[in-house]
Amino acid sequence: MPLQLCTDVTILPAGADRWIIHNVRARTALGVDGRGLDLLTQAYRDDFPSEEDLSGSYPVWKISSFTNTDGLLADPTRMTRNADDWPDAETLSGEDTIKRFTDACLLIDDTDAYDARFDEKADVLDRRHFGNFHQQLGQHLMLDRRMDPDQWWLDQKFESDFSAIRNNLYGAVQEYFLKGYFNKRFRQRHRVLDLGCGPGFFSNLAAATGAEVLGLDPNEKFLSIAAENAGPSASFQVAPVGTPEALDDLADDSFDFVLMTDALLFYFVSADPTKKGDLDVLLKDIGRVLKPGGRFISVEPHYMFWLAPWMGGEDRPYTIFSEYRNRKFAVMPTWADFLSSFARRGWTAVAIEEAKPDPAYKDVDPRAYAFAAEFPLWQLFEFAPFE
Amino acid sequence: MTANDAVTSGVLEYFEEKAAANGRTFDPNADDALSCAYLDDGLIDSFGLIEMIMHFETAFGMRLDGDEMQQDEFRTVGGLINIISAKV
Repeated sequence: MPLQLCTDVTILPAGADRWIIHNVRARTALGVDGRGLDLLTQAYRDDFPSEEDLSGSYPVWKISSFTNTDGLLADPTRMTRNADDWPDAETLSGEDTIKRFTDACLLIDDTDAYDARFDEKADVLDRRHFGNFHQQLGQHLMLDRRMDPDQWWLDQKFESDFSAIRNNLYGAVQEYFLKGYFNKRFRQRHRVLDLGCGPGFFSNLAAATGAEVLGLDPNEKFLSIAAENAGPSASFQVAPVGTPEALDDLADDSFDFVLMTDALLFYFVSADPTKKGDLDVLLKDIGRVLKPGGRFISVEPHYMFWLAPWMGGEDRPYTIFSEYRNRKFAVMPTWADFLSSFARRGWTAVAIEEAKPDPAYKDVDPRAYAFAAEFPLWQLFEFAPFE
Repeated sequence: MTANDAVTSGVLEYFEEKAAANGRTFDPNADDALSCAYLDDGLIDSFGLIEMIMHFETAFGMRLDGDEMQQDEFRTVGGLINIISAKV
């Protein structure tokens, strides 16, 4: 098949005579000037690429990068959007420029091979397949940054002493929202179980309402951090959350609320598909330890907008979707799949909220604020067993 | 011992140790030792890979870049020896 322009491509303005060629589905991008753009459009000619196309020279800007390096809540758009911030141009022959176009899936010559690139990664060395977001992140951290993913996760979310969430969208949306929610829902007499509590930040935030909170997590390092920051009504225990024995030590009907924040997603999408949590076991356990009338509060990344690209102007955001049912980059199931997984197991949603950001964050990062204000980044569900 | 011999024996020794630690066997003298795909054969796992890369970089005083890691050759014990040998 001859080289052809990939139908997933859009062109974005980046400055005077500077254009971003963006593959929306693959989330790849390349910076060019008008002549480079013209070369790309020549792909519609039957004799492309001709000798003339292959010669000549073109400035090309490498503007694609894994922008979530700065954090899961950093700009996920994977491109340097403003030409003023682009690195120095590389001057390439027409032939090498066309190769960059094909490497970035802007031009393709085999649609089956292109479709196959969206399959899961075979292992951490596999760069041919885009894989799911967890796999991309793990590969980037381990191979490009040489970082331990656990340590990176802590660093992108918390201040170095773990006493506070960093003033990024975690703080401005998740902490701000949950602080309000916990104050509304939890009382001194309540017992709250935080499953997969990690370093316990939200357990401790919940305990600040006066509720008695028990945090469980398999990671001892995280729990020692949690215990250091614990108030008088919070306690923590190591437990293999995600396995059938995880809650065996807990009595029946002993909690008013079970809380999971950013942990349930791994029961739906995992970096290693063989290590997905078992929702049957989890919900059975939660149902057993909840008091009659108790609630399971699930706080997870928003199923639509988490990691959706931040397109548009700083204060006038839009986003763009290339997937919904057939999820590759999304980390959460659709609401239909999510809610029906609960319904099938005898649970119903009794409250739904979509988190809004702290208005004060507008001055800290206007683009991030505007996006999070328009497109929710976390979803909260309260579930209860059917009566 | 030449630099390349040192790479060969250092890499073989590394996989022999890792295989033992992970409950696998790797015989550096076997005919198929060099064609062994260390990740597929479970000598190390994904998390062990970063440790392996950093170990070889320190041991042999070179840096492995992203392009090299993408090559099919990088996936086998013999291929890894070739890639590292070319850099020392």
